[in-house]
Amino acid sequence: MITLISSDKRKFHVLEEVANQSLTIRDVIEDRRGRRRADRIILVTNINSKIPEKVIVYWLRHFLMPEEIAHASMSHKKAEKLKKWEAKFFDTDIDTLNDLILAADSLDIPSLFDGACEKVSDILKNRSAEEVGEISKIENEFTHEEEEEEIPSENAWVWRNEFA
Amino acid sequence: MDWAGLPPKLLEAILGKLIESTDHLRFRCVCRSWRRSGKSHPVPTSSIPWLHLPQDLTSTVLKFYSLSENRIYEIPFPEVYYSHVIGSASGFFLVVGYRWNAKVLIINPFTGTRAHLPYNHRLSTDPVWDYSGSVIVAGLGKGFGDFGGVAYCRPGYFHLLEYEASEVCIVDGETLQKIRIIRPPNFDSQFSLFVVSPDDIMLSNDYRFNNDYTWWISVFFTPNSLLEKPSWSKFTDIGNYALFCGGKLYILSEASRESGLRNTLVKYKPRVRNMPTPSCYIYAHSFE
Repeated sequence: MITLISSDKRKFHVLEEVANQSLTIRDVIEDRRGRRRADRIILVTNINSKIPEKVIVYWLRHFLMPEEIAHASMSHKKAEKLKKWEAKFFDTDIDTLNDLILAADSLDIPSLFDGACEKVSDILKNRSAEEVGEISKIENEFTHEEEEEEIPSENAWVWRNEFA
Repeated sequence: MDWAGLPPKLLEAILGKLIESTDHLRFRCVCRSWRRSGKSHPVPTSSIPWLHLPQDLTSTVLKFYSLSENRIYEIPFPEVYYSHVIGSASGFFLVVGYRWNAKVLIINPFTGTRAHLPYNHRLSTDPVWDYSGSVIVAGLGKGFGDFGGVAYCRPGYFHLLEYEASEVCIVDGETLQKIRIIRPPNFDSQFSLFVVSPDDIMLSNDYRFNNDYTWWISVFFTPNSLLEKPSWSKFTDIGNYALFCGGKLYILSEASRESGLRNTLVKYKPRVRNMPTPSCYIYAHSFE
């Protein structure tokens, strides 16, 4: 059993086999093998408690079918089911996605990272910069001059046109 | 949660998932750090091709229909006024002036790039399809005749193939200087045509005998390379391949014995002059 501790001091106990899906954790465990029990505690300082919950849920779902995913030999039905599940899993607010991307990056979980990036790109698709700014709460920091000059000449046509 | 402060590496991972070039361009306009990441990442070519919509001669915009987004984009480009827009590849279009407007230029409406080609011959305006995705192709005729030569481009340098197959001129794409002239082997070239692929330059010399419908064809090849000296060799056997000649380009395709096209040249001539409706010839010549 491995213990993960989030930045707000919550503890999460996870089977080693499950947590192994994080390449970072796997390396840490590998390094500390044979040592005392206390060494099996891993601090994930940059992540609040909401995210480990999600990550562990993701791990468990994938842990149930690791071989099949690795070999892409999953039956069609199972693959569909997993796809549906992932769609639901990633159907969350954009801030959680941000955290998931950061967590997946620091814990090195390629499939989670990929899935979260995919979801964010889906959100960005076909939206104007203003809309994206609103969703992601990014302030429009371009000065009036920049907006007047540089950007329009480069690609104003991208959003000037209405949908057909 | 700080979307603007996401490390560039992660921003690029998200960018990599955006497959539409328009999404990329919009991404750049959100904020400065997104703009920096966007600029260091190449704009992708859209996975589903855009359709270039027909336009009249006086138009000053290029119109595209994006299938995947189901919308029409209009890109302003004053240079297309009184011009034909011919052939495209990798985002580049060849624009050929109409009548009094003797200019040839290459534009990329998506990046705003434009460059004039050092050519003031009149060009024929047959649209030519590009098979390889890496070259620009256009008909090039001197005055009359739509089976003139061909101009084509690939990254780095342009090829200008002369009418009557008298020479191939290679022009540096950046400096627009002529860097090489390739001449055909010495023979009567009256009915000859240059045809190109990214790897070779082909010269086909064919006659049609009027009374019976037989053809006499000879085909020559030379490597399409700046380094090697042109070494034309006559082609008599392509074995398990079929050679498809369409417009100004050709492709070699593997053809099994069963398909009946083995060792065959299939030629497609897009348009017949003075015909009221568009028409074409397709004919095959077996080397065996």
